[in-house]
Amino acid sequence: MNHSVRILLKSPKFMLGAVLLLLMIGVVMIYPLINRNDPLEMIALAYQPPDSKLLLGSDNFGRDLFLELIYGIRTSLQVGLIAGVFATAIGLVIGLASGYIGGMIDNLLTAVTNIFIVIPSFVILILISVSIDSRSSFVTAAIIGITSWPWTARAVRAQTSSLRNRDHVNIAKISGYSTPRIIMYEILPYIASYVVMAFVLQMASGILAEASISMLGLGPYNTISLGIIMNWALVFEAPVAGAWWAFIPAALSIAVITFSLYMMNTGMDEIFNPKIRS
Amino acid sequence: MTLGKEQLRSRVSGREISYIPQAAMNALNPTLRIIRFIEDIMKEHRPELSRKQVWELAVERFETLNLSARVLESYPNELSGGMKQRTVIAISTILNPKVLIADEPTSALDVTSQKAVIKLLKHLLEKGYIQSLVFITHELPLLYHVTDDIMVMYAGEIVERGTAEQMIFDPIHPYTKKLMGSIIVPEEGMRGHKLAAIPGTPPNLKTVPEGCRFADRCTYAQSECRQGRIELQTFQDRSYRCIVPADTLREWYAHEDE
Amino acid sequence: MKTNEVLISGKHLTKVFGYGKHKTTAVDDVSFEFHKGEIISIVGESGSGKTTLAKMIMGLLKESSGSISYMGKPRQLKRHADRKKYWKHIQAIFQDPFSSFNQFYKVEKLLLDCIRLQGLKLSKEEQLQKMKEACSFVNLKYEELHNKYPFELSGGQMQRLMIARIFMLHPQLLIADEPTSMVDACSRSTILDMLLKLRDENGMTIIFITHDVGLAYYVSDTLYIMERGKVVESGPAEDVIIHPQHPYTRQLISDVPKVHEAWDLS
Repeated sequence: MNHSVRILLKSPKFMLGAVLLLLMIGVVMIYPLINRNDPLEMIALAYQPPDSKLLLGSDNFGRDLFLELIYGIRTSLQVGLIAGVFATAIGLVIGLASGYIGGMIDNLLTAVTNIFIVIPSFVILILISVSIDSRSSFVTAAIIGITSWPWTARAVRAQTSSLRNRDHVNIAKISGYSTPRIIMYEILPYIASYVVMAFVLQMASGILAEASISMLGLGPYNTISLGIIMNWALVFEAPVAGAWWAFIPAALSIAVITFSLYMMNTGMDEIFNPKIRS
Repeated sequence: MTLGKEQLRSRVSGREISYIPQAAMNALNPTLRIIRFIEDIMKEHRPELSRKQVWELAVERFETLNLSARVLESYPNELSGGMKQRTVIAISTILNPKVLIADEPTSALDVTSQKAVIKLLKHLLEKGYIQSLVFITHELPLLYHVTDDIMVMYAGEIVERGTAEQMIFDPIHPYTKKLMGSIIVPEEGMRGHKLAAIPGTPPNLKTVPEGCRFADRCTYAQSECRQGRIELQTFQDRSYRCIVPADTLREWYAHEDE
Repeated sequence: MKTNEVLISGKHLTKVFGYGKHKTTAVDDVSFEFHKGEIISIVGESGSGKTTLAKMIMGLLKESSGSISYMGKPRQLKRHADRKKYWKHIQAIFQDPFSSFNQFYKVEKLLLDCIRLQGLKLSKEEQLQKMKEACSFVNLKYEELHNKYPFELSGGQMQRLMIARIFMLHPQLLIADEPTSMVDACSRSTILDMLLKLRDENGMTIIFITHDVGLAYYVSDTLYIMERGKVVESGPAEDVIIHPQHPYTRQLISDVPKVHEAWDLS
């Protein structure tokens, strides 16, 4: 395992992504400790352009956009993380069950997975968001996770069902090990890298999904996320007012976060996928 | 003879020397019919032929090799493993190369398909479609029936060379002796016969030991074996890489067999 | 050596894969009786159903019909506890040493697991002693190996480690599925010798699954020749190879290149 981590550190793509992401996490963790103001406090006039005091100007309520952006990135990362955990956990369990047990259960779970793939998850996302009254950022993240697991499930199923027939699994079986133990020690190590890659990808798409539904005004309440900042800019006609600072930095942040996650993903892919590596 | 990479590709590969890799049956692109592979080769090497001429040429060649012309219209996955292997061989010899190098062409096949491949190779030689055959394998009984000469390699060096007959029944080098002693065939007297085993593992080629590379595993090794470079000796019409004279080695073997 | 005590027997074993139009019968009405200390080879080409039969004996595949008796009693595999009990008596070596190892664990763990599997409570020194003993049985040095990962070993070394594992577990029945087809000729004789030694010392029953008639003849007391799911000929190795009765057996033997007889290539 240490070995793979060491090769990962040599991949320029992975390192670029990781450094960008860590930098961003560092800034959003530390800045609120320095600037202890409430991001929702109105401290200036509407749509003031950036200057030395307000780094990114103010929004239509006269709030400090830089502080809002920091909190926004924090929420977005949280949402992405939670959505990624949900999607990966569900996908992993369903994929493992379907691939390892095989037979009828496999047919059934594959059918369910395929149905979830065919139904546009964004539509489900909107429908659920509309029908739930109290939406915290956690609930939104959970909904995103629950609608985006099928791809992970599929990849895990394919891997598992080919691993199941490998001889070391047969040897573990006739050694009398229990099924959970075999899955834990004989299957999981082989698919761990795929799962981590899928998790990173799910996190990126979770952040994008949150931004999209928030921009439609269906995002979480009582919080600031990058999508919500853009929603405000849209609702209060920032583009018409020429206040580019109200939405460009937020959009750019989303792009940078997803870019860094995708870079990490491709970096890992090149290392863990033996076909590309050789 | 020195040639550039491009010259090597267009003038030598396929025309002069052709190669069949170990898992050749997996070398066929599954989305193309067999005839397409032949058309590809001809486009490169004999562009003057029309598609129809290529087809006729291919049918003729396949039929003389006892392969049905129907194979030409099939996709690779419609053929069995042994059939695919024979098809690959037929394709790679279509330009009548002077030398065919076959790297373990039968080791992934079961005995019946193995025999069919061997028949095909013999056929190619008899009809003069290829002039010489280099057969790389670890299956010795097979080699005995296919080749005239056998050359044994150990740890990156040639250790002995002779005719198939000599090598199987009268090996000189201790490694060859052991190798021939490990042959298993379904013949009377095989049971109860003790197989030769070689203790240890081949040396790591990153750090080659001084002297004879086989010394560490050789029952007859002396201290002189581990010094300097051991050169290939010539003995009558054959050669071997050992400091002990051939007759002495033979005496030792005769003694051991008692 | 072979005794007259029956260890495992099968009656009218059949295995059908798929259903409806895609039904294929991999093993078709096979019966057998294997004795304690006997070496049996099941010989057939790919697709003959020999591996499927082996997996049924191992209890990894459920038979479609027919029954297997172990030590005179019908084999019970319904509950995991039953299977665990049965698997204490049976072990396997597979064709491909590279896929037989879990590449994430060091060699040492493989051997330590064997000690744990037997439920032995041993001190550190005793464990070390046992592992060293197993390694020296297969001519490997524990000191050079224990810290390595499987992919750092050669195919022959890996296969010998698998035998070291069998040595530690000493099962009643060993199923060896083409154990030498992926190693070179010299390692092959070493591996065969070790397996024969295991039989002689522990009275183990060994079932070889192979396509190599010569190898089957060399190692076994009894041969079963399989063609398309059926056993077409069986009997003492000497009889089957020297005086084959069934045309398929004859063809199989004639397809193998020999050194003292001519090889009919017509």
